[in-house]
Amino acid sequence: MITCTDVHLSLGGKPVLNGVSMSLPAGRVVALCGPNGAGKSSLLACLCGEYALSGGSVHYGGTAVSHLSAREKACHRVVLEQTPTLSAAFSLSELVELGAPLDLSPADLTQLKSSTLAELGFDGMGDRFVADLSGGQQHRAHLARVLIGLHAYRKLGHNCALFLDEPTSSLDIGHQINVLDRVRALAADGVGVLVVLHDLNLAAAFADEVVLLKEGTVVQTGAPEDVLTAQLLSAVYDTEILVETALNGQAIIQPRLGATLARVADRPGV
Amino acid sequence: MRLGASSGFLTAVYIALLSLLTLAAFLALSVGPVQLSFAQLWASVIGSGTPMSDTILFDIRAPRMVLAVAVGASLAIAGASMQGLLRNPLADPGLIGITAGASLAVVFVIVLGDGFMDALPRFVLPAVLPVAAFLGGLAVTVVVLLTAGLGGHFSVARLILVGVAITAIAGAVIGILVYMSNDQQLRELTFWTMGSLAKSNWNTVTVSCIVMVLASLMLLRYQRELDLFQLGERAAFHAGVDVNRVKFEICALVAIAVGAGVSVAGPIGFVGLVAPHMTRLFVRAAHWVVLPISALLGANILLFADLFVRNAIPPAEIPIGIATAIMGGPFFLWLLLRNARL
Repeated sequence: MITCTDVHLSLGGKPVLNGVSMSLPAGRVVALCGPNGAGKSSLLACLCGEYALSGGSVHYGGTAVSHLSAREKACHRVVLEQTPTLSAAFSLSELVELGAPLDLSPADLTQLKSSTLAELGFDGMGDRFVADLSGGQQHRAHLARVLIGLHAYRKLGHNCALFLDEPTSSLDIGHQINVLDRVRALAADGVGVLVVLHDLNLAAAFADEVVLLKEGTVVQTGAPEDVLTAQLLSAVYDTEILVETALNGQAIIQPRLGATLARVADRPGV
Repeated sequence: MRLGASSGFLTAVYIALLSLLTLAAFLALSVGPVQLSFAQLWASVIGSGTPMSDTILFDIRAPRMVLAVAVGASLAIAGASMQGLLRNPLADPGLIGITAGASLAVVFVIVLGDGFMDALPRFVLPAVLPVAAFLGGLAVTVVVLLTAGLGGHFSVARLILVGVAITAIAGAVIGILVYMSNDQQLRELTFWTMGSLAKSNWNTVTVSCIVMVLASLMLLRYQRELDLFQLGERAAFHAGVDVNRVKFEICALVAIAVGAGVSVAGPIGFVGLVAPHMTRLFVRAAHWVVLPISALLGANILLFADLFVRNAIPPAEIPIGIATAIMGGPFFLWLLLRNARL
């Protein structure tokens, strides 16, 4: 269980988070949602143990993060950054190995590497240069790097959680679903997953719990159907948002496009 | 462009570089104004050589050969480490001002230190300039590291900018001191501003080599951290690297290795840039390969460069810094132009 209590954070003298509390239990998918500048990525960074907090605390299990070394923190959570980068000409295999902890045995590393590469559709591509892959493939390659760390730490007996900062932003719709299906499968295996999502429809479909943020404060926390309501979302995003339910029970969340729809209707042939 | 990454290929690269190093070391001991054959070298080694060949081998060429290997290897490892740490293929130990600081201290002592030198005991005099170079390099390192660490966050950008500023200031002060110097001082200054292995003797070589080897061996231990830095500092932290501590330790070790090298050989550019580049282009970019292969390559480059400067226009000797630039520059340019992936 990863928790934060009454977290306050200021960056450059400007308050970014104001008394945020939340928890990430094992086996649950928690989505962080909110408009740009709401503090989603800052909260994720605090939960990673990146910042010295202005107030409050973050705990991994029963231990305050401030008491853990960088290496000890890494055992408790693996993180996929919003825009992963790679400055060196590494092969896919070399990149993925970077995610594995040093205390993993060579045999386990080989086995985990091949299974993780296969899991993300990179079977037999280990020798390809990362720079030669498409943008979406590169993003999935970094996801493979993070997942091998998750599998390895759990194999070594750590209750490791998965943090994802907008993991679907550079993926096509098929791969978005594919990645989030994998996230659900990991949660079913007992992994706690914290995911920053801009796409509210994906949050409604895949999260067990949504934390809705605005201006560094938690507006509402709870099940997607309780948080992602038209009234709440319209207030948080400062725009009119419609929430409907499809015949299959799936939530459909979209802004009301009054003026835009009128323009489309005026086009010849529409 | 990279020829291959299999373990068989790597073994072949190691064997080739070690063979070349052995050949270069043999040539460094054998070739010169007085040629020493293998038989003469062997006779000296087993204690039955002539006094002249013993002197040439043990007092002149051997310390110079050992120094070339140590300086070449440590400059290459220092360059590879800085490039890895800064995620910048153009980073060089000279970039953070260590070389400039060392050179400035030495030039200062040569031009303005006459009274100070006269007051020192005679046996200390040979060590004054190397010690000044080391202290100059160390002083710049301390200033640069403290400035980079202001505000609790170790900023690599600030590190480079302060290094560039110090290099510029040191260059200007060296220019003024050169302007003030007499003919004899000017000749001495050439050594300390362009680099040379000509002043090698066991006293200075032993101490500086121990420092260079220890610092380089310690840098070899940061292979994984340097690989993780290629993902960016945040990702390295997420993967368990204590980013600020590691940045500080690598910069300090680079400063120690380069400072020790400059203190006996003067500033020698290009090796720290070319050797890691060639390794990344032809072999692998992972640091468990880049660091040791660059070291072997750097040792080879400096040994062959020294062989060239000793024998090109005898009895005069071209400064080795000029030779490394003349030999390495066009080759480096050719590599860059034909290879888009860097």
